[in-house]
Amino acid sequence: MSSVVETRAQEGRRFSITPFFQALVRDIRRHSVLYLMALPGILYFLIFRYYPMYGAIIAFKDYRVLDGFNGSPWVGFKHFQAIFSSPFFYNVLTNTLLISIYKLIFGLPVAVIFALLLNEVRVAWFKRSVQTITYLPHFLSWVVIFGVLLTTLSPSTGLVNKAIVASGGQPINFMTDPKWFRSVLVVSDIWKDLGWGTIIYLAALAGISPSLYEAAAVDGATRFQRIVYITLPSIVPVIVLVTLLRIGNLLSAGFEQVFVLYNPAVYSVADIIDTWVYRQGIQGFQFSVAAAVGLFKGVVGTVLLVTANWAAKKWAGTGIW
Amino acid sequence: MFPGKRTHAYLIRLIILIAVLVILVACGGGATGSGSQGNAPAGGNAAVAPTTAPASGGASATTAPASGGAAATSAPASGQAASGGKLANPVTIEIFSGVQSSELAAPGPDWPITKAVKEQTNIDLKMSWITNNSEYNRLVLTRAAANDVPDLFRISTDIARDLGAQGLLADWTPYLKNMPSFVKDRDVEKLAPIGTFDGKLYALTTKNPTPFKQAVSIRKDWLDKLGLQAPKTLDEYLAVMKAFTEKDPDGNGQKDTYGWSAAVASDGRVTHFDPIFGAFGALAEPQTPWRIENNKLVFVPTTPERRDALQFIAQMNAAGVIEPDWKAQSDPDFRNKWKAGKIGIFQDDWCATYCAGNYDPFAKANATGKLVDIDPPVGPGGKSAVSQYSRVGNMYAMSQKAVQAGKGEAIARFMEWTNNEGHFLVIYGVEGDMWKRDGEKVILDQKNDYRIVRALANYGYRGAPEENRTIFDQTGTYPNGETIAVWPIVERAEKIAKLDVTDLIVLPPPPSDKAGDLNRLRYETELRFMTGQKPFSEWDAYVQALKAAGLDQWQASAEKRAKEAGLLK
Repeated sequence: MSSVVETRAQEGRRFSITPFFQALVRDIRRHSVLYLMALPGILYFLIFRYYPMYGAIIAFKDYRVLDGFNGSPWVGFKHFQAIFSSPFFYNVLTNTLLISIYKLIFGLPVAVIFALLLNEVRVAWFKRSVQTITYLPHFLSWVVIFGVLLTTLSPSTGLVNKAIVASGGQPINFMTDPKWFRSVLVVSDIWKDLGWGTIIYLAALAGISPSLYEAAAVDGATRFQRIVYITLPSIVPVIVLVTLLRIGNLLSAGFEQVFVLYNPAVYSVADIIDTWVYRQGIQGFQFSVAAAVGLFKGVVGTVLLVTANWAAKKWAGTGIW
Repeated sequence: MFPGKRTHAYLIRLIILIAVLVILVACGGGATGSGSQGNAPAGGNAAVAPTTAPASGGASATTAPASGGAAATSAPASGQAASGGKLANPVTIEIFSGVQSSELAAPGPDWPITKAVKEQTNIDLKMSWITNNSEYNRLVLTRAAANDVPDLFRISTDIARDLGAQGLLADWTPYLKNMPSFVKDRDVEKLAPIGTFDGKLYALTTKNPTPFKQAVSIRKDWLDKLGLQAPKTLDEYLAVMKAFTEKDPDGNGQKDTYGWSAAVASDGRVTHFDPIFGAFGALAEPQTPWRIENNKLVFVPTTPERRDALQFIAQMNAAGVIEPDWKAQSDPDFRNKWKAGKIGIFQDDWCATYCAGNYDPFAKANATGKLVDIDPPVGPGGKSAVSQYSRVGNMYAMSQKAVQAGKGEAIARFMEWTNNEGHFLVIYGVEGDMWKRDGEKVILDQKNDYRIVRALANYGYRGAPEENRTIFDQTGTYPNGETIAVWPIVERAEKIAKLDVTDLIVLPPPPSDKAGDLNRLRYETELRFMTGQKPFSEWDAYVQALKAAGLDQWQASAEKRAKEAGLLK
């Protein structure tokens, strides 16, 4: 410790990397098993997340395959201008934000409430089976779910519309009516990931000390009061964490889902940034445009995440860092 | 007895290290696998040839296998090729190809074609199979972006233009002399302008080997039950569609039948309305949206005829005769609807309707059902067409990388082989096993396993009448007591009213930086006109929006190319 202080003092204001490494090496020696366990994760991020970032440079170039990342001619902000001048850009941006925000504000409470309900179930086998059943849709591909939705929501043969007609209503074309399509996206997304999303809350709930509940019970708190005053405050950090992570991804509204479910009748409400890039960028071999959009999403996501984290620390007292 | 604490820690470290290594190795293995394990054949065989891209064609015979040269009579064994023989040194070429149909697996390691190619040409084939054909173009583009273009693969004009401009494709011209029978039988010289960009033949364009495949089919049993005649004009069509929707033609007491149905392609294009557009002379799909009129290049989707056709479809939609799922469903869903007996009239590939495996589910579900193909509707101006068709067939590209590696001649040799010594093996499979001769005729066994072996048939088809007869002359007897002979339907499709757009195929696709927006604007707005979500008073604004979104630029490039090709004076 003293040697670190000395080095810092010697080098003045210039930050030196050497003591940091010395400390790191010492730490690695001391906790080598932990570091070894973290190694695959660290390698994953270095290889698949950080190394490819270099390629984002083609957003400012006219990418030519043979010339590579470095040799392609520099064009500055040409591709960003092309994106912002597309007649559909503001449409896809609005759709992306709306779909993401709907999924966040409707999906989050549903998952939390479901976790709380499961937590209160005292019959173990029932709790476990409900949990397993609600996980299952997470493992289905959107193509399969599309088939299910098309069949159940069909205006001519679908169960839902048969019920609507039987109760005297007019059949609704859920999959092609712009008024309904976003609801289909949000509800199907919540349904698919309900069980999966509760796992993290259930884990947090399992970590609450039983002594708190015992003390509350002794003081005569009802079950509902125990949920409100003990359970909820205990999982607030996890809720904040999940919310912040999803805010960082606000510009990714779920490519696979939208791409499988949408059709031209609902482009006006369902075309999102990722589907637009797929059609305009990838299919047209415009990789620079696709990279520019990716960079744009990354920058906006970072700004959102930092802002939201700051807000969360200010008002909820907890954040990611 | 117990190991010391230090030994324990080392043990844990060792185990974790091994685990990490195993994970890394497993990941590496997964990434390099060629992914040839596709879906196992699912029993059903949908359209026989959904992968032979253009669904139409005129069989202008050049060589008939039965009467032709030595290649026809003793297919694989005798190598009497004009430029045949084995290469002096072995060459490996990678072919990137889709399987015959998405529900079929890729050929395994014992594929007879690999062996025959090696024996007869000294070429080692390395196959990269795509089992989901709808992913084909995306995968080609992804590989191109990584400068890993396959040596030989099928291509479309827009991708050939984009990859050619990037310098990734090779010019076929110097190698045509090495593949004389291929060049002759596939009309390569005549069709060359279509695949030529910047003076280089990037896409080796061949004539369309399949006959014209679109037809309009109607429920004959429903017509008879309601005492109606087969419709001829558009108004009669609409009247019959209304009757099919409202008068309970299947007699089950429920209003669950419809006059017409359609689907949406994966790029967002509405399909299966071609006969309606054809009746107005406003066909803009599936081959080209262009038309030449009074020495002018006209973009059909912005013409008054197109508007009238959309108005007619809007009328159909308002009358409730179109099956309500049509805006959201894909082709398989669309086909399940008529197979389930819900649809009265529809336009589709006739093989997807009448070939054995496809008609069977319909016959099982509809005990009294009877489908017949009829003429497309005649419009107010006397026009009529089932769809567009072109005599342009498959296009092939070879990579610049392959040519630089000295593989150009080997690739040309392989192409020649598919048309010559290897021809029957490629298109029909192993003689005696998968097909046999009956005098002049070839009798084909249509087992699914055999179709897997024929996965590369798209390289071999020459489109001779005998070839089509072998493939499509099938007669099936079905549970509802019907016997369907496919060949008369093929012959009728050859004569039926259709729009020949072969000359226009040379025109360029939309500019690649505008294509996505232009397509969305057009497909989305046309659909909204069809469904009444957008009033026709906004037509002019729509046309202006198209021009602004890049149509003007596209028109200019198309006119330039049309002048070069001599289509405009």
